Amino acid sequence: MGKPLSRERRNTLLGLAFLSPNILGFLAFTVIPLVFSFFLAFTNWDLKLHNAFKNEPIQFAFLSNFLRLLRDGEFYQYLGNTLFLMMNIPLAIAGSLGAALLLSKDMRGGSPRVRHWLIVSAALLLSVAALCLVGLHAGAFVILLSGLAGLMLFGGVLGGSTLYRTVFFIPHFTSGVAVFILWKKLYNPSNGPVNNALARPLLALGRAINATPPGVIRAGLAVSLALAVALALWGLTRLLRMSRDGALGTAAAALPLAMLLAPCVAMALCCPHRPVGRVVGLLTLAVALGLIIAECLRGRDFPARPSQGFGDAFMLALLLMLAQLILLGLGSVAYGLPEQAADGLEPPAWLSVYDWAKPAIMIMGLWGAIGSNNMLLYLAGLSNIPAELYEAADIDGASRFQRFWHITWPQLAPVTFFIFIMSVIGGLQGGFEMARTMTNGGPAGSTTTLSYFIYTQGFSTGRLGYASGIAWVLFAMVFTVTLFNWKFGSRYVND
Amino acid sequence: MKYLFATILAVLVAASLFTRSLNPAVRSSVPILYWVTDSNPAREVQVSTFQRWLQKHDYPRFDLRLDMVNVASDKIVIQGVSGVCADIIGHCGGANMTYRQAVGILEDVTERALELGFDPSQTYEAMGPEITIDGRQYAFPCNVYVHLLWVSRDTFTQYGLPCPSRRWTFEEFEDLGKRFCAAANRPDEPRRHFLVPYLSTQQMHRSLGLSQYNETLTACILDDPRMVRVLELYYKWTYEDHILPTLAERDSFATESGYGGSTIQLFNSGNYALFPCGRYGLIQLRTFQKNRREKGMPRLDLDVVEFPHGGFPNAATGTRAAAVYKGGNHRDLAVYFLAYLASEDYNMNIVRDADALPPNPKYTLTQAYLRPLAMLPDLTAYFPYGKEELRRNVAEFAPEFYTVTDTVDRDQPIAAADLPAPPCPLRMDQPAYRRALAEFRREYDELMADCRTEWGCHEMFSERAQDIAIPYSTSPFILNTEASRIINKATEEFLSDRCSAPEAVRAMQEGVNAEIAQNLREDPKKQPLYDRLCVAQARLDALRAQGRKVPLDLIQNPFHRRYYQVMGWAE
Repeated sequence: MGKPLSRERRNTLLGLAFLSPNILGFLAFTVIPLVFSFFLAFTNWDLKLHNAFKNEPIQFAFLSNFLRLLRDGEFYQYLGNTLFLMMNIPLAIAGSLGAALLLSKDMRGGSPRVRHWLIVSAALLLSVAALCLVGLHAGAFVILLSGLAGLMLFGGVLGGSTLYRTVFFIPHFTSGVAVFILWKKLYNPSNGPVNNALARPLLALGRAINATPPGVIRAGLAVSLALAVALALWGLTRLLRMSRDGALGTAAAALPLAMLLAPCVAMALCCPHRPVGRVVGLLTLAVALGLIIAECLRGRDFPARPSQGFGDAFMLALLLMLAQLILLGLGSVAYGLPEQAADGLEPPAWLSVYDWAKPAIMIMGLWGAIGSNNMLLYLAGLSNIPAELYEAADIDGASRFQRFWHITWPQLAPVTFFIFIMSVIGGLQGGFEMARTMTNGGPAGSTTTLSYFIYTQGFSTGRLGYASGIAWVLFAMVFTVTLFNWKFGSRYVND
Repeated sequence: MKYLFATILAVLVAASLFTRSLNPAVRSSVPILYWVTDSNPAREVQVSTFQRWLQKHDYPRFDLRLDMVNVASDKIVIQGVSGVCADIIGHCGGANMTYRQAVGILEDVTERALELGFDPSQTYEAMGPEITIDGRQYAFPCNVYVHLLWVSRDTFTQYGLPCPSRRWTFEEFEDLGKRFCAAANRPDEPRRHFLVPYLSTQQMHRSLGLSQYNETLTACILDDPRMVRVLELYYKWTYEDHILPTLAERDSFATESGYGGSTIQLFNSGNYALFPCGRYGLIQLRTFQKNRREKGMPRLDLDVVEFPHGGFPNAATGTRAAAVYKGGNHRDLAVYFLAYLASEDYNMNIVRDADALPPNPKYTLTQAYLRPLAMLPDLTAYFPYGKEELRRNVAEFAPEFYTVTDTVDRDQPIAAADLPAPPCPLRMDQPAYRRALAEFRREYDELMADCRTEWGCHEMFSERAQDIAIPYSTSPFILNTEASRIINKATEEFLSDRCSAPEAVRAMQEGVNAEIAQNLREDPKKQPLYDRLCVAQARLDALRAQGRKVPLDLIQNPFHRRYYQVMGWAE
C-alpha cells in the first residue's frame, strides 16, 4: 500500500485533470503550431516536395526565407497596402470616442433635448414619407437610410441609450464574411445603394464645379499645402521645445523628426503641380533643417538621456504625419477635380478599380471599428472619470469644449493609448477575410495585405517555409509595437 | 463541481460515440467511396448510372457518394497531404492535375487503365497533356470542354445586324461589336449591352502565333510585340470602343444567381450578344428555353461561333477529369469509376445531358449527340411514384426510353406518343394516369422542340475539339496558379493605367521566369530536365534561324506542336 495522497496534492491533481482539456487544446492548437511554424521559417518546407507521399528530406535553410523576403518586391507592396489600410486607425478611434460620448448620455425622458430628438425624428419620418410618395427610384437607399435613422432616433427616445449601444455594437458581433458580402453588394458600381445614393449629389457637385473657375477649385491644393507645412513646422517647434526642455533625447528625436518631415519629401516628389510641390516641399525642408541646426547650436536648457521621450515624440510625429498625408491627398483630389468633373462626376467603381479599392475597404473598416470594442472601452473609461473634475470645471466656467479638452481627453489617455496599440496590432494582422471574400487581393494586388500574402504563399504555392518566414516577420512588427507599448505606454498615459 | 465536470465529460463521450455510429462507413455493409466534384445537378444521375454499370459488369459492389463542398483546389491539396481527401478527386484542367501530381497525391493508374480500358487512346488526342505526365496516366476525363462563343441569333436580328460568321477575325469582331453596341445602347445612358462579357487573352495571343511559354516550356516569352498588341486591343475594346464591359460593369452585373453564374443569365436577357462557354452551357440554356416558353417568350435561337482570331484560329480545350487519391483506402475500387468514365453508359449520359463533350469522341458521331431529342423530365412531376417505384423506373424505364430516343430516325416526325410511356404508378387509377401521361407527353414534345434549337451547334464543339482545339500550355517548372497570378496582376495593372502595355508584358515575363528560377533552386532535382530541355530549345532556335524544319519531338508545348505542324515548320 502506498502512502495516501495529501488533500492538497489530490486537489492539485484533480484541478489539473479538469484543466487538462483546455491545456491540451492550448498546446495542440496554439503552442505546438507556434513552435512548429518558427521551425518552419528556417526550413525549405514546400508542400510539393515535403509531404507524406514524398521522400524529399526537409533542409535547414538558415535565413534564406528572410533574405528572400527582403528582396521580394511584392512583400513591400503588400506591406504598403497593410500600412495604407491602417491609416484609418485615427479616424476609427475618433469615431469610437464620438460614439462613446454620445452613448454615455441618457436620451430617455422628457427633457428639452429629447423633445429636439423627437422633432428631428418626426421630420425624418415625414421626409421619408414624402420621398416614398414622390417615388424616387434612385433614392431608394436614401429612403431606407432615412427611415432607419428615424426609427433609431424614435427608438432611442423610448429605449434610451441602451438601444443605441446595441445598434452601434451590431457590426462587431455580426459574422465577418456576411458583413463583407453585404458591403460588396453595397459597393456594386451600378446597382449598389452606395452609388445610387451618391449619383445625384455627385451630378450636382459636378455641375457646380464646372460652373466655378478651375483656379478656385485648384486653390484647394495651395490651401492643403499651406496647412500641411504649418502642421510640419508646428510639430517641429514642439519637438525642438521638448528637446530644449530636456524632455527629448537626441537619439529619440531622429525617427519622429524623419516621420514629421517625410510628407514634405512626398510633397516634392508626388504633388500634382510638380513645380509648386517641389518649391514648397524643399523650402519647408530647408527651413526645418535651419531650425534644427539653430537648435543644435543653441544647446539644451536641461540635459536629457539619448532615448528620453521617444514615446511622446513618436506619437506626436505619427499623428501629424498622418494629418499631413491626408491633407496632401485632399489637395491632390481638389487639383484634379475640374478635369474629372468636365464630363460630370460619377460615383467610383469602388472595389473594381485600383485607386478606390483600398479606400472602399477602409470605409468599411471604419464602419466596423466605430461601434467595436473600442467604443465599449471608451464607455467604460468615461464612466471612470470622477464627476468632481467636471463640477470643478463648471464652477470655473469652462465651456463644453474646454471640459472635453482639459478633462475628458487627458483622463481617457490610457484607454486611447491601449486602443491605438491594439488597433495597430490588429491592423498589421488584418485584411485576410476582406481580401479573400471581397476582392481576392485585387485589382492588381491593391488589396492584398500581409496576412493574405501569407495565405497565398502557404496554400496556393505550397511554400510553407517561406509563408512561415513572412508570418514571423509580421510577428516581429507586432512585437515591436508591443514593446513600444510596454516601454512607453505607462509613461505616455501618466504624463 | 467535480461531479458536474465528470457528468459533462460522460455526456461528451456518449455524444461522440453516437456521432461515430452515424458515420455512413460504420453503418454500411459495402465500402463507401467519395467523389469530390463540382456542384452540378447532373452528378446525381451520373452516380446512379455508375451503380447500375457496376452491377451490369459484375464488378465489386461499393457505394459512391458526392462531396461537393471540398472542391476548392487548396482544400484538396491540404486534405490530400493530410491523408483525408476523397477517394476520387475531380479537377478542371491539366494544370490542377500537374500540381496535384507534383504534390504526390494522385495514384498512377497507367497499368489499370490499360487493363480496364480507360487509357489515353479512349479519349481525344488533345487530352494527352491533361491526363498524363511523362507518359504516365493519372486521370481520365469526365468530360472534355472546348470554349467557343454561343450566339443568340435573335439578339442580332432585333437590331438588324448579321450574326457573326463561324470563323472571324479581330477586325470583324471589332466592327460588329461597335455596330452592336451603338444599336443596342442608348447614347445618353450607361451601357448595358455588350457584344461579349470577356475574351481570353491567352486565346488571343495564341491566334497571333504566340504562346505563354517557349517550345520546351522552359521560359515565359510573353515580352513580345504580339502580346503588347493583344493587351492594347483588349484595352481599346474595353475602354475606348466599349464593346466589352469594364471590370466594374461586370461586377455590377454580378447577380451570382443560378448554376453557371450571372453571365449566362445576361446572355439570355440579351445584355450580352455572345457568351463564351463550352457545350456545357446548354445545361443552363435548356432551362432558359423552358422558362421562356412558360413566359410566352420565343425560344433562344442558338448558334455557335469560334473566338475571333488574329491569323491562327484556335480554341482552348481542357477536361474536367477524375483521378484516384493515392492515400485512399479503396484505390483498387476507385479505378472502376475511371473505367466507368470510358464506358458507353457514361458517355451517352454526357451526350444527353450536354455536360460538355463525352470523353470518347466516337460518341459525338451519334444522332443522339448531333440532333438530341430531350432528356427525360422529372417523372415525379407527373406520376406520384413511391420511392421504390421511382428507383426501379430510373433503373429500368429510363434506359428503355433512351434506347428508343437515341436511335429513332430524326428525319421523320417524332412525337412523344410514339415513345415508350412511363409505367402507371401503383397508387394511380387509369383515368388519372391517362391524364398525367397526356400532360407528360405534351411537355416532352415541347422539350423536343426546345432541343431542336440546338441542332447544328453540337458538331461545332466536337469538330473544333478535333481540329483547332489546343490545351492550355503549362510548364513543369512553375505552378500554373502562380504563373496565372503574375500574368493577371500585370494585366490588371495595365488595365488600371498603372503601367504601359510593354511594361506589363515585361513584368509578366520577368515575374514568371523569376518564379521558374526560384522553383529550380528549391527543387534541384528538376534541374537536369530543365537543362536537357534548354539544350533542345537552343537546337530548335538554331534550326529555326536557319529556316529549317524542326523535329516534332523537340517540342513540348502543345500549342507549338500544333502551330509548327500547321505552319509546316515541323518534320
